[in-house]
Amino acid sequence: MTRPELARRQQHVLRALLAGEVPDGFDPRSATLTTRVLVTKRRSEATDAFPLLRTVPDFAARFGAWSAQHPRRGCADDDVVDFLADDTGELPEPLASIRTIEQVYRGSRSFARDRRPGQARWVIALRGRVWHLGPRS
Amino acid sequence: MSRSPVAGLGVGAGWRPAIADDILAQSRTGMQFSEVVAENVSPADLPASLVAARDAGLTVVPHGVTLGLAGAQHPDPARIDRLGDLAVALGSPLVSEHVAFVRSGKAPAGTDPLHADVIEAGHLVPAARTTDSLAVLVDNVRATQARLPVPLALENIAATLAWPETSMDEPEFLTALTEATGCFFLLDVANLHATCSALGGDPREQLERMPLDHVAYIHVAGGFTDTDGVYWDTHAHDMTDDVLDLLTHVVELLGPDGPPVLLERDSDVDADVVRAELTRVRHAVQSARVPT
Repeated sequence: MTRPELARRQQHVLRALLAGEVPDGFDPRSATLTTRVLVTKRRSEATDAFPLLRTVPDFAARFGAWSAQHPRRGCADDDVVDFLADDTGELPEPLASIRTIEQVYRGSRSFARDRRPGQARWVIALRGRVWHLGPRS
Repeated sequence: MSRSPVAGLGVGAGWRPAIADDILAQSRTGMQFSEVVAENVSPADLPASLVAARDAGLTVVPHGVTLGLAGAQHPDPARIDRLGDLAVALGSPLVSEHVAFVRSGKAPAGTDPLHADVIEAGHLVPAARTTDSLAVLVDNVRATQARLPVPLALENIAATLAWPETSMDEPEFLTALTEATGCFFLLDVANLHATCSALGGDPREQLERMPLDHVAYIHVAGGFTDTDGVYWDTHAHDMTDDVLDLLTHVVELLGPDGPPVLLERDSDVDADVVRAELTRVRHAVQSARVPT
């Protein structure tokens, strides 16, 4: 097996494990344990980067379901904002405001209310820019 | 027998920001050996307490976690140079890494590596143990050794994954690796216990077939056994007696004043916890029945 063949093999197996699938020919228990290790490590790096994630109800299950569908694109900080932007469950403040504001920046919604403690502003996407309107805190 | 470049340095703990002051204090009262995770410090901007500990006589080994030498890609020269630069900055007699792959795919030239077709595992993943994968690993290790200013030691990881194409067990594979490259072996007894717990095998029997004549130093760490009987190498719990017994057995095999022992504690880490765990490590080392 040449380097390119080995690269394809490792890519195939790693992609499956990160998605929570059992790669062809693998012992299901061994693959499942490894997925658990990878998801746990990824989740703990996200909570280390942003400890407020621990306030998300049922966080382990929600992050696990999300991470299976979303390969990591960069570092743990990317995981934090990507998860918050994609997650659709209930979030406590300030996470709920962070999510909706991030969605405005990503273009998936046109406005959001910033309800973080001490804030009371509107965040609005208009003509390709994002405006924060209201009293400065 | 390749004598460890850090032989005789006793028992130490890994340097972590949360216990930096205590590592410095212990380095002034007898601790001679430590390790720092290479990705967590910059060679050009070392933490002052780490520099002070080095100046007090502490030997600090840069320990990398992202080189991925068992991956199909050629190792990244920038990551190798960071290990080498740290070794120079700290005056380290060696650096260490893992027998693992950590990412797959290859960034085409000129693309942003974050957005190329590269998948980061975010963790150490075992590669298949075949003659072909060994050849790539040996090639990667030789390229790394050629670029480093100091010797390289490679560690057995805690594995939960068994590849169907694997044709060698871990002691055979690691023995072939050390013989082909002359690299040192970083023996992690907690990882060995974890791997046998998840995948089967007798850790003592495997230990005795490991490349013990190449051991540079020994890792020990805490973890827990879940309700299914699987041991998890967390670095966040206290050490189990099984792991300490393995450590005692290593010292019986290698003799006193051999490779030093390094405690890894990453989470729930404070000075009191580390001191108490170090006492248990020293007790395990001293309880070895060494032939006189």
